[in-house]
Amino acid sequence: MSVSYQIKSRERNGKEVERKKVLEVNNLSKRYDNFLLSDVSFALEEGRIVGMIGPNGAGKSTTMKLVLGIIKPDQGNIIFQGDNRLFDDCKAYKEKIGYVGEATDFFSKCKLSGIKNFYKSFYRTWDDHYYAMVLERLQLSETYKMEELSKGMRVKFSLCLALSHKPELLLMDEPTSGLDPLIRNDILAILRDYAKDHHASIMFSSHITEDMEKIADKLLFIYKGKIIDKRATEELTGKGIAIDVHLENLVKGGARS
Amino acid sequence: MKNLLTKYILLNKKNIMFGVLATVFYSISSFDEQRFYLVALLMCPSLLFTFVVGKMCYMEDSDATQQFLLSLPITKRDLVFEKNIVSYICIVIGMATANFMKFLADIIMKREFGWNINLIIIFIVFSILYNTIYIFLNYKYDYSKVQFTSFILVGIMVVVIKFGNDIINTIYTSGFWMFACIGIVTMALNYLVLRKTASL
Repeated sequence: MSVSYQIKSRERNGKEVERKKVLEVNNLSKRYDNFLLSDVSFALEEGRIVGMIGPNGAGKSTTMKLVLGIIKPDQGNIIFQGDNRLFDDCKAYKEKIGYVGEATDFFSKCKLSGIKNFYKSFYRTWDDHYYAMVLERLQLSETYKMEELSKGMRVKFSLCLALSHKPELLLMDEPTSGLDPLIRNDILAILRDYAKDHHASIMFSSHITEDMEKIADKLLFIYKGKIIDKRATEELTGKGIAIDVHLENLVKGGARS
Repeated sequence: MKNLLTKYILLNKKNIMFGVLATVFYSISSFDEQRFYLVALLMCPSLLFTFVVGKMCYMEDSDATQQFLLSLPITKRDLVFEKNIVSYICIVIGMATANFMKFLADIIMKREFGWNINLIIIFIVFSILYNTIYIFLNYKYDYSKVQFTSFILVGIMVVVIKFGNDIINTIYTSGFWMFACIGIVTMALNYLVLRKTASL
């Protein structure tokens, strides 16, 4: 099944632009003993950054893992670049995705150079020059072991890895939580540049509404396993409505989508 | 799969080295007596497995590492079977080292070459079973549960002590094909259990 995806979307400056749809998620559901993610649907377009916002336990990480294929949905489908990826080769799909998880202390006793060499062996599109450039921009050195890095540096390194194979879709699960504003700004700047330069689609979840305001083109509000609102960031910030206030209103049932 | 195997060289070099050293150390015990050769047949593959696969299971025993690995273009099935392939490599290298040292010891000590294929198959079967249970427990539960695999060793020891002579006699007097069949059945069992483990 292959479908052509071109949709019109409104830019931050108000202009309407035709963009290719990278990912379409339809009615995704997953049931756990004490949690239900139900009917999650959204679309990601090339060159755009989508922020997913919601309280703890709302289903942000579960949605990310479902899109990444780490867990299997009970129902629904995920269409990536026009193909239903649930019927496709999962490995070919994952090659086009970059992922930065919330926990970044993987292979903690190993040197960054070893982890990088291991990671890059999986991607045909790996770009050593780009990796070196991002590493330098983030002021990181490969001589460290993972456990010697601060949380901020670990996130930077994870981002460095995730971007260097030039993914068409980048998924980030609360990448900026617990980081100081300077590091957050570095990361946000890199994300913005990457989406613009590589026409990639980025989806990131965060509690920090300030970050969303800075870079997200579109917002997904999730609560108790359901998407309760989707809208362009501009729609809120243009009217002077704070994102956290809007979320609070949605949660209390006081807002209409 | 090839990429996953390079993980051992890139991230676990030191433990591979320790594993090889321990294997060589135990295989040297063959120079003493025949019964130490039996110890070497048991210990060489086990030690190598513990240092190489066991250490990798420990390194991967965190949510962060699991998610990092599963975000790569691989599946859980690849991770389980990568451990299994490396465990077979450990058995082959461990057995080869133990037997090479035994061969060398028999020549140097001018002893009659006492090499029995049935005996080797039995130890290979034991190693495969041990490794299968180890990998199964690691993926079904987590690394903290793999310590229970040691109870198998204790159980085997109890059986060997109780029926030691009978077992040795059976091994030396039975035909090769019976043991070859046991080996094939064990490998099939190993495949089925780990295929199930991968889908858990």
